[in-house]
Amino acid sequence: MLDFFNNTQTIHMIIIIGSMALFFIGFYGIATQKNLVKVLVSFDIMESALFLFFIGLHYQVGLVAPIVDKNLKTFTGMVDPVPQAMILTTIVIGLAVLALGLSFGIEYYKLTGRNDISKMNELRD
Amino acid sequence: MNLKKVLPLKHIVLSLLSSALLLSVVGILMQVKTDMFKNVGAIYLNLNMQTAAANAVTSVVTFFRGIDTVGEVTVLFLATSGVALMLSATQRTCDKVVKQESFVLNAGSKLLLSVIILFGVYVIIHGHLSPGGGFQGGVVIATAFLLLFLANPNMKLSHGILTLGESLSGATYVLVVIIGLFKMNILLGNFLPHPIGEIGELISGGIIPVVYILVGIKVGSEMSVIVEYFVKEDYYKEVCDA
Repeated sequence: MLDFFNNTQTIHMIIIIGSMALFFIGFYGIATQKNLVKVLVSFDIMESALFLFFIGLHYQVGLVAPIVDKNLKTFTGMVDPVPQAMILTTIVIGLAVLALGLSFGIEYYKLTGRNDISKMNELRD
Repeated sequence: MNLKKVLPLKHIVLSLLSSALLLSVVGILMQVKTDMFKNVGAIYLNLNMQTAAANAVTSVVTFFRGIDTVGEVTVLFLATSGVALMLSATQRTCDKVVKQESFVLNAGSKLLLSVIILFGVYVIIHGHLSPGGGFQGGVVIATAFLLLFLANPNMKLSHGILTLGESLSGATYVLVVIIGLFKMNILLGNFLPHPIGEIGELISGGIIPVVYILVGIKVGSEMSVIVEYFVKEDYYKEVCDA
């Protein structure tokens, strides 16, 4: 039973289906929710799905994390370090964007007393 | 119970649309073969013995793709400035003090603070040897201050010290980038003597630990400022109205 999962192709298939399901849960949240905070949280769920997707798709069975130690002296048989480094950048940018968006949301709520995105029509007048 | 009120038609249509998009995207992604992205990573892994950092991800982040990290730190700085500007514009402040309820909570949080900060510093300075680094360690340090805010609502951070640490570390990071240009003819050149001793020791890797320590100080102070602004938003609202 567990040998079935010890296969790169199977793991990639599970990761693609799972992360894309998570991505479209976030998409559904953005499309249906009216609360500003819930929309921002949905954005964060979509981001998490992309992180899982990129990191997971570059895992291969039999390769180890790209770190040398006492037992492993050379950089061979390791997974690709580039997607991990890029996702590290993306996580920090996502955190910055979420903090800035939440502060905009708090400010909007303080000024107008509302957080419903379907009633945001201040620019019309 | 009215089904239409619980689950409106719009939500059903949108969930069906999301599912259709999901199926098509998964169908496209199933065709992708990961063999086609192997080249860059293999080149970086081969070059990694030159940087003398045991963690290949760290050397990609701070050396091979180091200029990206400079931009990333700039984005984080701009976001922190935006949060501070937005929330301080309308944040009502007052000098009222809440009575501290529990002695155990107060003393325990101060005891834990030093341990969490020590762990954050450990994660930062071992960034080139083990998983972790400046960004992760900086966020760990910010969680120590979050614990302090949750335990003692009257706590205030000294913005002078935080701004000083943030500005000095950011300026030193840019200086390191420019010194690399003058000494090694490339931006962010590894100008410190780097294969000292064996790979995997604490003092190895040239400028990589230096860069990560600077990034750690910068991220720690920025995250603490963001945490303070978001926590104080609730605190002032409750205290000043009472």
